[in-house]
Amino acid sequence: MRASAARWCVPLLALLAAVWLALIVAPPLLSGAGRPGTAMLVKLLFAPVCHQIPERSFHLMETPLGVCARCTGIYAGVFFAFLAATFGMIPPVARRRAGAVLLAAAAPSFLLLLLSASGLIPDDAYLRSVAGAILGLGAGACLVPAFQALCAELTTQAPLPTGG
Amino acid sequence: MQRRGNLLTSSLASGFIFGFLSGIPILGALNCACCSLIVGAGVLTSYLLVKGSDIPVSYGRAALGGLLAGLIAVPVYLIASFAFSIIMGGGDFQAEFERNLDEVAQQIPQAQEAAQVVREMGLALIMVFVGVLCAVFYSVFGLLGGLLGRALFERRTPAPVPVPETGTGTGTMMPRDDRWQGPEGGNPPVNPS
Repeated sequence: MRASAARWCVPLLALLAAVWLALIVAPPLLSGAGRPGTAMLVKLLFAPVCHQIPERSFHLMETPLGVCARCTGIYAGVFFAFLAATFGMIPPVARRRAGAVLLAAAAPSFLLLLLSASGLIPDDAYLRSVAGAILGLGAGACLVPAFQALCAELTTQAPLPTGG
Repeated sequence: MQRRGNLLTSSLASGFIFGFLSGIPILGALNCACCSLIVGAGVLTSYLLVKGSDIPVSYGRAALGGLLAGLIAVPVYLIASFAFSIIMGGGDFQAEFERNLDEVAQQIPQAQEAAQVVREMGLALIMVFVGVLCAVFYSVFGLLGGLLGRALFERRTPAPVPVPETGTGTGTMMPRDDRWQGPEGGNPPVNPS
């Protein structure tokens, strides 16, 4: 039961992350398909989690995505971490040293923030999204064992069937 | 008597702190990076739970704590942002909302009609919509923070206790944690198979 729950929870997480990513890409596609109202609603859906500044976002068909470039990178990173975990490709260090993994994953974002704020490198959307993707990969890799343990706990907590 | 971290106190404290921080104009912008302040609320909840508990904190408890912290942060955030916008000389939410709506509508071709429909819904309905949306997102991000916090701060290894599976006659090992709170703190009861 526990093994089954742990096995199914990771593909489910990957699926949810894929749906989330699809929603991020949806506004330009919906707008292109002649559904500007729905596109705007999807865009408003992401308003509480991102600033959505067009200059800091990727554009598709001249319409910005649902979230900024950094957030797009983070969510894509989390998705790829969940996808990798589905195929058993999460390194054991993510389970043992979550703090170190998170710190290492966040380092490029902090470094980029410092370097771009000091004017040493240009504030490029691709760089922001790559740094965000590394952070997302790290966070996703740490979340996978946590979710597996959570699923295992929840399933063992369920009442055991009585013999009939 | 073994102490368990107080779930409600931990969630209330971290939800209040991070909800308030989210409402501060410039600091609150940190939430623009995947609700990082709300994830922080979940992480702090787990930290407080771990510090206040003599036994290993389970992932379920940490997740629930993070979720509660996220939910608690919503009203605190809304009240704090309302208060700060009045203090800083704003307070015209209707105008602010319409400006934001226009910005979004300009980004999407032919969205002016849809913006008009949203505008006609009225500010009160929009505020309820935003509140519900925040509650959903903040609880999810709080939960994620709670799980991350548990992974970061819980260093104690739960002692394994055997839990027999019904029907097979063989036992599997599960980690012992704080879910069973029996009189002697022993193993949870199992159904006879």
